[in-house]
Amino acid sequence: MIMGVQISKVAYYLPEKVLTNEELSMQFPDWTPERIYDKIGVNTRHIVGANETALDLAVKASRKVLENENVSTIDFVILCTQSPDYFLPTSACILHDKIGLKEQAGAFDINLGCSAYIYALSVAKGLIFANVAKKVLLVTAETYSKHLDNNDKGNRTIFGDAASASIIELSENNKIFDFVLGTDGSNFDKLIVPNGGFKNKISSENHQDNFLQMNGPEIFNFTIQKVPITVKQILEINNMLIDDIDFFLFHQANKYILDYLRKKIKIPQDKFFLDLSDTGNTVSSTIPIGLSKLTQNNRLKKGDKVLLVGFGVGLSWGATIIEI
Amino acid sequence: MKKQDLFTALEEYLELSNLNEDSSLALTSIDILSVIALIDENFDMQIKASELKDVKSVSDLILLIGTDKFEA
Repeated sequence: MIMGVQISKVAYYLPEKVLTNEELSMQFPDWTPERIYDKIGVNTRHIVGANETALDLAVKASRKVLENENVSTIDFVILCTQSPDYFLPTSACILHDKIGLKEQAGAFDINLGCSAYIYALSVAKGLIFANVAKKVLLVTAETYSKHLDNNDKGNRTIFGDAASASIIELSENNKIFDFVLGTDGSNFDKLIVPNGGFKNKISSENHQDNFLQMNGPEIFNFTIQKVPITVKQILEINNMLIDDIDFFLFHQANKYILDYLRKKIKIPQDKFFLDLSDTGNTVSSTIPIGLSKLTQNNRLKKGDKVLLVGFGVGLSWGATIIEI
Repeated sequence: MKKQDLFTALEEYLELSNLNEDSSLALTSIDILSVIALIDENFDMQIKASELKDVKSVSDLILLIGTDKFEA
């Protein structure tokens, strides 16, 4: 009989190449390395090489989390990515092969960005509760650096590439609680790569539209409006109060947004995770990277409750509470 | 909030000094985030970034927020 589900293991992988604030400052002299760190909270970010893809990162993160695991016990893989190798097939099918999962294991991609980890957790929980799977490999992998114009100062300071892999499985007590999910498709164009799909082909005329376009102020408006409400809702549906939460781990968008949200929601600084200095905003991987770092640094103990919130491209958001 | 409190808050958020109603403003993209945060925090209002692009002075900002929102 199913008792519950838990995140039993998390690992992450960062590509070898590092882009520093000093390098960016040489290209954009009006922004000093100190100013970039002060505003964005990032010192360095990892960037894939020209021939390296999100799938390559996904394979490496998966192999890390599967060390000392019996691979044949994995019966589903979910890959969250907006940087697929191909329009089709899904990258998850190729990942399934490369890491040697059994033929009976399901595989699919989820095309979401900064909210993807929360959505994928809800899907993994659903698959386990529906008895479709007992052990799910949840992978996030993004190479937004490939979506960025080399002259895009703002976004190149913010984003880094990374992948993560988590194992979600049956547990005696339920440790992944209820979810709040949300979508605002009317603002789809506030964070978008306009060209490259079937609607707008890659174009030499609208060169800028071949790259990621982010309306920073409108994304900020969306975030400061939706995240506090979502935190309130997730506490309510799980019958908890803000004091019941031991740690708040939000999508690591940038320092400015996170500082503002922490103050607005009145979260004590010692309970709030803010650490993107050596990774940048790695989109769907920020939350699992945060979980991994908190565990490695012994900042979480058994039984702690952690409130997770993802928000971004879509526009899309989601939250849940997990128990360590 | 009194207008004087807005001048003080703007000085803090935008790292400027000696602001008054006649002061001009040249908002950078990061300044726009700061002004959105300031208005959200003090007036519980969401201002669109496109509206802030037309703000060239402190008095423009006061008009955008609404003069009725300020204490005498």
